[in-house]
Amino acid sequence: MLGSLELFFGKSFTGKTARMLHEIRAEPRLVLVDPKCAQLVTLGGVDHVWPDKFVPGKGGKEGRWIGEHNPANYFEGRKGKFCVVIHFREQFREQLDSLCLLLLGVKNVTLAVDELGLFIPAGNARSVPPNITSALISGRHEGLKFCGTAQIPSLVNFIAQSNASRIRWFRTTEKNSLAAALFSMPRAFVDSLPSLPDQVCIETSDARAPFRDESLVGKIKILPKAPAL
Amino acid sequence: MWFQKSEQSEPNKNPHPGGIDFETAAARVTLEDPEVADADTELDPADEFVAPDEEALLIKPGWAIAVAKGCFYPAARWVHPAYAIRDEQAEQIAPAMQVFLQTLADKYAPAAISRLANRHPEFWDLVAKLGVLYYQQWRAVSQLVAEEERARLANAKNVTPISVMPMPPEVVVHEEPERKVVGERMRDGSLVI
Repeated sequence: MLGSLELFFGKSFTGKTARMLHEIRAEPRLVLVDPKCAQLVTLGGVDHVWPDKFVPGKGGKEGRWIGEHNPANYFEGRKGKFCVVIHFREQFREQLDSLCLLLLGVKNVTLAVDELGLFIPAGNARSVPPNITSALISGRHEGLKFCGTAQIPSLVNFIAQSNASRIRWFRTTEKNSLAAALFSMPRAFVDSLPSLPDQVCIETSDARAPFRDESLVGKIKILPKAPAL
Repeated sequence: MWFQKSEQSEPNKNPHPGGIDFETAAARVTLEDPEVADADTELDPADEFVAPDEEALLIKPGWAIAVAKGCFYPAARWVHPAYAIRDEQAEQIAPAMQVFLQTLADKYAPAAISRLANRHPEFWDLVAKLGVLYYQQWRAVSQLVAEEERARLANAKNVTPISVMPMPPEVVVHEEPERKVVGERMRDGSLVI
């Protein structure tokens, strides 16, 4: 079962995005945020929203979308299950801030963000926009679950890391990532991180001691791809 | 009565009293008027969503006072010391100086540096090479100074320190030039012929 805030760290092509898609596959109300506009563009069986005009907010206020591709139009009057990929092409942090506000109003929804470091970069607490902070630290009160991937932990603001109920560490060789992992797991696990095979991770959480998870090697089924455009 | 009033009041229909409802959230993230939208999209980037920068250089009032006093240093140094201004005088122009220095730090200096870096890369090559050369010279001179100091200490035992000021050399003063008379001898015994 997906926790209120889960993170997936690891190098490219180690299986973190596939694992995140696997973990959220059973969520009935799912919003997937895609900043890369690459492989998720062809994801089949889900809705796609392409916000194309966004006005950033002034004075720290949230920005606003214009036109028919406004994500608010997608959620208006929508009851029950849904699964949508929202493709952001620019102004990632500002658009995620507005989306978090919108989803706090939608309620009972799971927000999965690929490449979270593009949206909430490292820095002090004030560098995270207010609605993203609300979603991270109190989203569970509104039924909002949050998960995201990043290549190295130092790309993600410490608010997300410190509030994460579960972090899955995939293969990484970067020194700062290994140093950050040392705060969450014994050194023996940290020493194994640079040589982890694909789809194998070290799971750390509040609920149990860290352990090496190989249970899904070769078993992860990624959502079916749509025909080529 | 107060309790009757509370019973008559409307019950809170919001199942999430501390949260935000969808209509409010959607209204806050939606811009309806396309004209306003067009106007907003043409805003100066400086007015857009900007997170506070913790690493920004903030000019302190004390720095402005120091710079204001520094403006009068050349005149006080080379013309007359009375040109130097007191702290009270510097504080009068410190606010304007602080605003100028802040603008300089935020706007002019980064623009000038980026212009130099973009248009004149050879300038930065020169700066880098000068820096390397200065460093090499500094190391060589430091070694030379250290060797001189070691040599001085080694020769210290052969040098007798001067404890008394030596007397000045005697100066022989001749009042009048000696008169030469043919057939007579001079003071030193030579004969004048």
